[in-house]
Amino acid sequence: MIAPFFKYGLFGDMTGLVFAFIIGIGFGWFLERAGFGSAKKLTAQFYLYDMTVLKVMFTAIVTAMLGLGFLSMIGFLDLSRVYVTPTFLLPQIVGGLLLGIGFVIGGYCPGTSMVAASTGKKDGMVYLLGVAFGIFVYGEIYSSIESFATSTSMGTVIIPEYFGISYSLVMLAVVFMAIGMFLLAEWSEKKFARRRPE
Amino acid sequence: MKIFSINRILILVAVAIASFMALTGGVSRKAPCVEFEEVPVIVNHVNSINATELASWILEARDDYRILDLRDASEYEKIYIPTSENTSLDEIMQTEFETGRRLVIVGTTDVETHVVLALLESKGYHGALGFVGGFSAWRSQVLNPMRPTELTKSAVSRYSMALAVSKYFKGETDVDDGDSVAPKTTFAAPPPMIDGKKKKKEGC
Repeated sequence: MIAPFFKYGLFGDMTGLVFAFIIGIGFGWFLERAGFGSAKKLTAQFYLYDMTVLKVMFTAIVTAMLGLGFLSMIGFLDLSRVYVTPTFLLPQIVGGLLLGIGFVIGGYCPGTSMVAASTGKKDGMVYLLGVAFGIFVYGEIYSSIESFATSTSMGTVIIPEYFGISYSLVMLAVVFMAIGMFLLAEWSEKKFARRRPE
Repeated sequence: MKIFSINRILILVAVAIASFMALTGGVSRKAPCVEFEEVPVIVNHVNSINATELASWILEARDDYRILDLRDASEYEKIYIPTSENTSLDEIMQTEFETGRRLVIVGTTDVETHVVLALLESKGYHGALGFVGGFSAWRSQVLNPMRPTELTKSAVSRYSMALAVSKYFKGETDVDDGDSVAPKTTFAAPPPMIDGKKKKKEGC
């Protein structure tokens, strides 16, 4: 038996949706428990006195990366069938900047706004309305921006393949990068502790 | 400060696992060997699409797929699936396909279709779908749907829907032509074999 189970036909669309629902609930629950349903907590990282978001994200990245790597190594997971979003360099840089600006102003990213809205926070609900409106506008104007949205296409880019180094070395480097970021975050929280609101 | 706090232990575990994998170098994106028993599962459940599903894709005007028809050009010119492209095995093997659109392979037989799927897999292209039943399935399931044997409400409703779809794909021709050879469609000529720019949108 080889994973991903859905792509190898172990179950169909409906069962896939049931699993997605269960995993989605788990994901949302952990985001909420980590404090990601609070705009104050989320935006605190931009003021450098509370780096919880960075720590949680790096922990999740390292955990998922090592888990996937281990399952691939023992022959259980076919990494070639794990979907990787294609790279469109320029439009994705612009999109990332827009998301960052929206994050700083609104206090949420799309996923965390869903968490906030589901726990009854009004700002989260308003943010979600904005997300829906943005998706609608993007869909309506897509034909006029399509040439830009599909420009600088690089296909599916993976760091080890792009630089010609082994996956395992990149994984080790990411682990050390995460440790460095954790130490930097701890230092930053001490340095800027006085910015924390009373 | 405790020397062995939970955070430090977790960091040490992560470093140990990553170091072990770096030393053994066992992680890669190359597809592992597939067990022989799993081949029918992959072929039948994952990499296939039937005629009615493909018809609904065309009716929805989706742009995230390409239909490659492997029949002879003379057969293809008589009748073809709208939006399909006539091509050959040689052309498929020489073409670098974009990853954002799924390929639908229409072979003369299921065996030919599965051979093409296997060759595409060997090229590292994993998104292709085999059209179940070859072109004859398109004729029998979409162009000339069978009348239901039992006249239940749901069966009649499905048959009416199938007739409407059949009429759409046949253009101006009469739908009640039984099992006769399906007429030539009135669709515009299919697009040439060039890589399009539109990509399937996936992600978080």
